[in-house]
Amino acid sequence: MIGLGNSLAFSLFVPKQGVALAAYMIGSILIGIAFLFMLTRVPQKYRKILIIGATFVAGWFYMLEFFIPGTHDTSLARSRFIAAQRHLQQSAQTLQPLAYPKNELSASQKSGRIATATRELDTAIKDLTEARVSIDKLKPDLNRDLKTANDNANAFSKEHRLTDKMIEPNASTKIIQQHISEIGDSSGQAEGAIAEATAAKNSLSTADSPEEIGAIAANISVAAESAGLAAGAASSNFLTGYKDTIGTVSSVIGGFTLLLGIINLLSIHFKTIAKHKLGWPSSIAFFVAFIAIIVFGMMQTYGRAGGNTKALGSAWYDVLFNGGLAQLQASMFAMVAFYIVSAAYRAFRIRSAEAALMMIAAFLVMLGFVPFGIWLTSGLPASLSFLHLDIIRGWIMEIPNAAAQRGMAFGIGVGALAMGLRIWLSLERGAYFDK
Amino acid sequence: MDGFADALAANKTYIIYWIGAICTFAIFSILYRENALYRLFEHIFIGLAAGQIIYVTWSELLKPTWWEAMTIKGQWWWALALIPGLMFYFIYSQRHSWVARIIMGLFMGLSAGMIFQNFANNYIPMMRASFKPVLPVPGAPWSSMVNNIIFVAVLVTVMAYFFFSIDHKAPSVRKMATLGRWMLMFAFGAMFGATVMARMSLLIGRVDFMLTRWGPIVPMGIWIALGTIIVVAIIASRILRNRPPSNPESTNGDTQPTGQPVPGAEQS
Amino acid sequence: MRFLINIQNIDRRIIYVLLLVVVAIPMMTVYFPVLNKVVPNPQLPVSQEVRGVYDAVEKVPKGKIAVMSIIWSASTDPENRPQTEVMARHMFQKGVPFMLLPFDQQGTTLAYDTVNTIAKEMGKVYGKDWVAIGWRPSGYMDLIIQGMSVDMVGQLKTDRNGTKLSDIPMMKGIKSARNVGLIVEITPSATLPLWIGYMGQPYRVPIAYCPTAVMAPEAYNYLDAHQIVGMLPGLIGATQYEQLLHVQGFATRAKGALSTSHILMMALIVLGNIGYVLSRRGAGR
Repeated sequence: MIGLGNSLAFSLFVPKQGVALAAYMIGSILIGIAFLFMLTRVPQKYRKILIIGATFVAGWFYMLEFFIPGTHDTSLARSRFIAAQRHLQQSAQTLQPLAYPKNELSASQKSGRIATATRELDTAIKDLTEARVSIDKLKPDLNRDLKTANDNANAFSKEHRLTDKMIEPNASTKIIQQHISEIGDSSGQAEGAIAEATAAKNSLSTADSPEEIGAIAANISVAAESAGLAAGAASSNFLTGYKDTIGTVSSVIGGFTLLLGIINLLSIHFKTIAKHKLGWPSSIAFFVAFIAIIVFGMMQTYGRAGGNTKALGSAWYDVLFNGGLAQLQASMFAMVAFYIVSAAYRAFRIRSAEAALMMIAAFLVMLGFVPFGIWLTSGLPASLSFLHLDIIRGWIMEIPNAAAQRGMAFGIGVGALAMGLRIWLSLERGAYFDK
Repeated sequence: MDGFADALAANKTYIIYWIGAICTFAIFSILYRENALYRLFEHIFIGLAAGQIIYVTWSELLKPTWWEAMTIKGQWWWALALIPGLMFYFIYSQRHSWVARIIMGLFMGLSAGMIFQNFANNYIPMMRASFKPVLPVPGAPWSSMVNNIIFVAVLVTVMAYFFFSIDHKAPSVRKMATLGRWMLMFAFGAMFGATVMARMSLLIGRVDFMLTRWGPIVPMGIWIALGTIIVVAIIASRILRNRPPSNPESTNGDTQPTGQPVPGAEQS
Repeated sequence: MRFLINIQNIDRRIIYVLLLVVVAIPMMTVYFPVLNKVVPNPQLPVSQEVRGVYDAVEKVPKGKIAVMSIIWSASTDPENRPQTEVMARHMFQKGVPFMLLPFDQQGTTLAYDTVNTIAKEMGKVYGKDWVAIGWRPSGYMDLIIQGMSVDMVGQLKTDRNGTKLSDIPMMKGIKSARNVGLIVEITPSATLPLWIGYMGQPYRVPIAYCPTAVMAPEAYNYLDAHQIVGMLPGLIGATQYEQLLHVQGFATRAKGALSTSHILMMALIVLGNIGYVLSRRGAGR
């Protein structure tokens, strides 16, 4: 698949210069317009299929990228890494009860657990080492591939006489480079995990206080994390390398939508002026502001460095942006403070027990945030420190609030998952897919 | 012209502060009463915002990543990106608006394809963190166990309230859901408190600009003149108010603008 | 009694003036330094979540960069700008190179100016200590984060001036999400799940979250699940951070006004409720 794409890229997507560039650009725009024209001729009955098809096919990209577990050559290493991660986690879990200061384990139970943990560590180290070896074995091949790809790219740019500015890493080189860097990362993570696990194993034989064992268990967890990352780094598949291309193209296409909302705005104000509707001088002000900021901005961007145009443009742009736009917007939003105070004064009434609960929470949170509330309770003795308003505020936020937020998040998350599936499969009814 | 640019650059800060102050006064004038000055500045604001969007989109996104990729790097195929971009604009056509849906569907599909990854990374760690030890752990402080119990209880009751699909008729579930509603109210209270702080911060920022940026550059004479104008305006409005109003709407300053809905108001 | 009932129908503009005065008085310290002695101004205890952000910046490994995602505009400037300031300052102090990645058309200029001022003050060099990307459309944020996590330079291409990212010294060796040591998300909107979903969790990159206070309560859920390492809740978070860094900026200046405005808010709510109860009782009789 990559091969096909690349050979196509090699034969067709050659950077051009001068007249050829202009011709190709105009040509592709003409082809595009022809394509759009053809689209408008599509019969009614195929339109819905086109929309649904586009949504469905697009959805597969990230879906497959996420679910396909990676290329074949790294699969062995990956499964070993995952096994190692599991062994390390098991080892840390086995040690956990020994880490509590007041555990009531007998000496034999203790030594049994340490022995199990050490055994798990041994297995994990063995897995990690083997996986690392197998991943390192891939390096020479990949480096050779990279060299070939680079040679091809050089030959290509020589053949088409590309200047330095026009040369960009082509897709195949980039994907090989990514693969090499991923394998390097994976190997590095594995190395870290091996070092951590070995150190843990060595210190486990001498450790006996709960604190020491706790620290070792924590280190083993870190090693498990590294093993997981090593597996993650080795799990990119043939789609992963195209994620950045899709991201760039999408953001450019997203840039083209900039006029979508503005067209409406322009037409409304244009009509207001043309028909001398109420407040039309304001609409003139709208156009003046609109054009002024674009003109000065462009002067700033396109003016010669150090030139007068640039200086003038950037000074005026600065004035319009920092003096006008930013201040106006900040003022608009600052007014909400007035409204919230006025509205709360008029409408925040304790009509029920729930409202009372809400008000108590609101007051405690407000007082717990602002310096005044902190000052109020700062005089309390240390034994009553749990009554400090900032501590209470922290507790409200971290326990009941966090739990309630999580409850809501689960509700929203399940809904979003269902919604996403409905959109992808075009089951969503309404104005969007109908017609 | 040269001198003008230099003079502008040298006094830019002063100009910015003065324009900023005028803008602030003009916008805040709506707090007193709907007026033409506010509408004028509102229009200027919308114009500047729309223009700035176009300028930034071109200069920071399209120019470097699209235009220069074509013209400098010679990658002519970027011109093809115009086509899907243009497809969005079919939305303005009555007959062909469905063409816009293809490209919108494409992007919605791309985003929808990430749902599983998003779910796995956002919600699974939360689920894992929800299994908190509610039984005493040897050596651990009792307060953490109490907190864990409260956490799990709140979570379960809120979920009971949230997932409507469970039959609320069973009394135990209904009680739990009621408790969940209470807990939600508590959380909403916390959110309300935080919202108040956010809104106040915005006002404080504005006042800070007026007092610590613009204030110090204002000459004393202007302060005095401004004070006089305000006093005269207040007296004048008092006198005018005693007359019978010719236009009842213009004197009725007490029409409440649409403010932020207050959660407390929903209770009634 | 009557007064408390009648006061319920007070002209809203009187409340507005009251609020303005109450906010302005503590800020008058510029003109009347004596006010500093009157207004209680305690050292704030630094909360756990703020400390988490501080520790995360301290722990960014050498050779990795931080990504500062800017989604704020002038509307939330007073909350998000101090957060941007303190984060930039701390990273400059600590020598953590960082990248500004704006998803808001205004934010790109506002954040650039903010960081540029601090960089000049601290003698830091653009391109070596920090870099600013141009605006990217927030509607495609998920696709952009996905792309960045695989190939940083391939996705972002150039900085905001149009310089190739591969030519910028700071970006040497920065390939993918594995070279990112910290994500700082400064935002007034609900964009955090995208960073968690596509970069934070899959690549185990710590996320420091700097939301406006409105968004803060939701985030305690993520904090509990260790999906974010810390948070600066709104302006007060920035105040605490300024205290940690021993600098005094807007966030510190705003302390007094934050207190007085909240006192007014609470007093008004209490007053309104007393009036409400009294008028209900009056009606019941």
